[in-house]
Amino acid sequence: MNAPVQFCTFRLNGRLYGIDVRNVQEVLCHAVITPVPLAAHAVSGLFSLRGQIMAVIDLRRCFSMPDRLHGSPFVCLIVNTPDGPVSLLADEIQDVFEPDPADFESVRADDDGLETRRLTGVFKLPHGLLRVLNVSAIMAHVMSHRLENIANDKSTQTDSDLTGR
Amino acid sequence: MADVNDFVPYFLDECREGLASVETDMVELEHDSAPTARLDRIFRTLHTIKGNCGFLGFERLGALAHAGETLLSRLRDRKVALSSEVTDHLLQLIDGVRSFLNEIAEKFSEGTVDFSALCESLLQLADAESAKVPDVTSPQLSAAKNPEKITSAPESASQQWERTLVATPAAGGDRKEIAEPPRSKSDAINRPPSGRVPASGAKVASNMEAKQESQQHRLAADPDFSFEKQFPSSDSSLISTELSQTSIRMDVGLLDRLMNLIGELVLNRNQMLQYISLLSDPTMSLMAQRLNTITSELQEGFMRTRMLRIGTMWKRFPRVIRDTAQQCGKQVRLVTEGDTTELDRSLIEAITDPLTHTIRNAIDHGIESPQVRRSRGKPEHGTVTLRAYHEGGQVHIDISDDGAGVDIEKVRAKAKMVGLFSAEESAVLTEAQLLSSIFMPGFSTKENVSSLSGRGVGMDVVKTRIEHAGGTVQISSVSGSGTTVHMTVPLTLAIIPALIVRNANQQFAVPQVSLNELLRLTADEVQQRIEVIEDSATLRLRGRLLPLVRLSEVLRDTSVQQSAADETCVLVLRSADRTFGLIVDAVTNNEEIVVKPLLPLLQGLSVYSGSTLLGDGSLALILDVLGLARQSGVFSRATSAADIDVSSSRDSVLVDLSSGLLLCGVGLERRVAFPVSSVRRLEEIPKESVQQAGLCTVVPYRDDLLPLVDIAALLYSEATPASAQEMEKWPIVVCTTESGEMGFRVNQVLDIAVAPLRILPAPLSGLLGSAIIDGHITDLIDMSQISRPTAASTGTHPHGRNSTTL
Repeated sequence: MNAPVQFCTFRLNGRLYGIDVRNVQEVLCHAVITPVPLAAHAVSGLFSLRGQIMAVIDLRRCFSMPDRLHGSPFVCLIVNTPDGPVSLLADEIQDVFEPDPADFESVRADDDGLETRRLTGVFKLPHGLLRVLNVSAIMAHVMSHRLENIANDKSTQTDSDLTGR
Repeated sequence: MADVNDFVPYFLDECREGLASVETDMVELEHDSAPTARLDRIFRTLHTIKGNCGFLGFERLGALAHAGETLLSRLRDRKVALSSEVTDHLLQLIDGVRSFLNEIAEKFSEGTVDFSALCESLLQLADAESAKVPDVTSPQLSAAKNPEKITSAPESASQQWERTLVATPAAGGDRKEIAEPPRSKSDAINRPPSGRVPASGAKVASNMEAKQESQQHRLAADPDFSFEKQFPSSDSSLISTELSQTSIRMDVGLLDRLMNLIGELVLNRNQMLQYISLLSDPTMSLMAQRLNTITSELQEGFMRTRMLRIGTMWKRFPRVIRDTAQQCGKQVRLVTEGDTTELDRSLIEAITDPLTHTIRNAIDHGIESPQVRRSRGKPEHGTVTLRAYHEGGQVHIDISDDGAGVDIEKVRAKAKMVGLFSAEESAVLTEAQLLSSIFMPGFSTKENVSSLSGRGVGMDVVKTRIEHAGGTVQISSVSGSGTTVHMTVPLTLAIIPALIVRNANQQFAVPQVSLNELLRLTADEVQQRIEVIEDSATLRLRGRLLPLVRLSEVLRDTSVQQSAADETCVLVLRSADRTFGLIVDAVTNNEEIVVKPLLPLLQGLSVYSGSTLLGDGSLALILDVLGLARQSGVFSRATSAADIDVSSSRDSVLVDLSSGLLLCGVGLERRVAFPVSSVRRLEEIPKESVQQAGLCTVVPYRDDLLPLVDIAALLYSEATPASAQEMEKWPIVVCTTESGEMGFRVNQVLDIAVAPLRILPAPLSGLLGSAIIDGHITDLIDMSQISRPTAASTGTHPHGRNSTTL
């Protein structure tokens, strides 16, 4: 990561995360989400962005964080992926800024932690860390778990979420 | 070369379009008394292909086209007579060109296709046959040669005009090509070959008046008729240049995107209209109304861009009919009506195969051989009529033949043989009911299997395919004068009618195609009619047991556990010939929905077939009925109780039931059937002889004790009616079971019947299933289960007290 890149940053369970701003199509503060029973745990449902139907993925669930309290605010980041746009749910939107590439540290290949596998790396900022999302890894995770609700019960599903793929 | 390759797709498009119309012309050639115009069209198409091949460097395709061209020019000059052999070769030529085109489409080169042999024989035909010609065409030739005959022979006159045009080198030919845009087939068929009138020529002028009159008649009948076509004049090129610019080629992908946007616009308008109606602002309302009309018109107009004329698909049928007829040794003609009927392009693809199959069927099964037709006083040529029209928002297609019709007695016999109906049933069935059995899998009245039909697969596939496209198929037949297959299909596949239901505060769409009926049960009815057997609920519906599934359970929605509401909504859904009931919270309304495919992230969730945006802008998932049935296991569950799956273990059941069924009345107006193979004797025993032995009810029988079971009490927990209780002698069915002989008490022995093929699973222990015999729902007793001590645990004491038998 040599050339400076601007990041769209947001908060998730108090932590700061970021996505390359070029991949973010838009950010919405309001969305009517239609739940999809039996879909993967991380899929909150579907929503229609001006007629285009896309899946909504709750990032909290991807990182095995506790669910947002019912009725608390959230934001939808519409992110372009090779498979079309997808909507990622986060707690709160933050600034778009350009961190110094020198501060970047990529994820070590041998680091097999649950969180790090869904990040490309972190920026060491003066006031904390900016975690950079690996969107394709998140999508792959959701895809691989899409049928879990059919195969397993809710209880075993959270287990598999913890133990990984 | 890269530049030239850019033209290849256009070249392919143009060639294919040309070939489609050429094929029709070729087949018609055989029946055409003055085929010059057709020959010209075919010649021109081949010539264009040849020219383009030279430009693009496809030499072998060019050579093939050239060989065809040579043969055609001989035909046109009447040096070679038109025979069936020639037509065969010409059709082969078309196939050859087509396979070249496919090769080119894939590889951008001619590939390895080799048609040099065909080229040879085409050229040979062109040379060899010149000797025989004069006999065949002499009348026409002489007419053309002797000018004084022209006035008396208008046909030859027009012919001569054509020939002069053709004789004029390049310029004349080109002009003609422009002046005549490719015609639709109806045109070609409806218009007799003499329909063209020369614009000049003093000798035919006297004929003009008479001809114009007859043309005015035709004008009224033929919407495509135009003076431009009828009277090619020198400045017709100007008109047709304008014509050619009024249509453009367009990428289907772009059309689809625009269609999506218009869908959005419609939704947006709906929301806006709802909002504006709250404002009560007259100016706003007026503007909204205007927006409303414009959007509707825009949508309607745009829908039409996706529409194709059904005639474009029909172009292939003359060839199909000719080939099939030749194979069967029959003579068949095609008549088409309503070529201009429009339907969605996706539907055209969906119905092409079923239509082709039906037409082949009509020729093979329906139309008789020429000899038979003659003996019945019909013309030797059979006629297959295709008719398409719009009615009630649907496209109707009739495929009728003037053949022998369906032999209803053959169908009846066959239906009885394969066990679709019992002897009594088939005697009272209406013709329509019998005819519909043609659509059952494995049904064919044809004695011999031919390469075309007779295998019994076919009409059921036609039905499945048409139903899959949201349509219906019906058949009607008049013995001796023909059969008509009537199909209806929706205008478009992208928009389907659906029922919107609400469950756990969420809306779902259920396609109307799979919806049989809608039930609303009151709390009392729920109590009475829903029975829970081995954890699965069933609903008693008109004497049948309908397995029930709760949508919340299938979707594992545990959030809201609905308390017993006043009413329960049950959708009776059909999936692959079985029905089940789906319980939902509420039914909202009917809506036409635009189907959007399921996202990749959700694929594998078989309970949904897609999603859609409803009129109020909200999003709803479309339920997949087959997926729902699988996910809930409703069918496997319902059948597991009786341990029988009708589809898979039908054979084993049939073996057991092959000797017939003994029908008995039991309990309160119920009917049960014993397999005759297990019945030993029918006895009547005096009431007093029934005794208790231990916990069993027994009766002394042939120096032994016969255990006695009351069927009504055992299966249905119903008491034997008082009238039967008071009888002095009890009718008993003595059966052999795994645990020895056993007596079953019934109210009366009714009849012996043939076992029906269709046994519906009944989720009740001790039953094989249920069937309709003699118009009554009859439960088939499973002897192996009923004799098992665990399954049959209760018998009835003569005085109504339960006790254990066996």
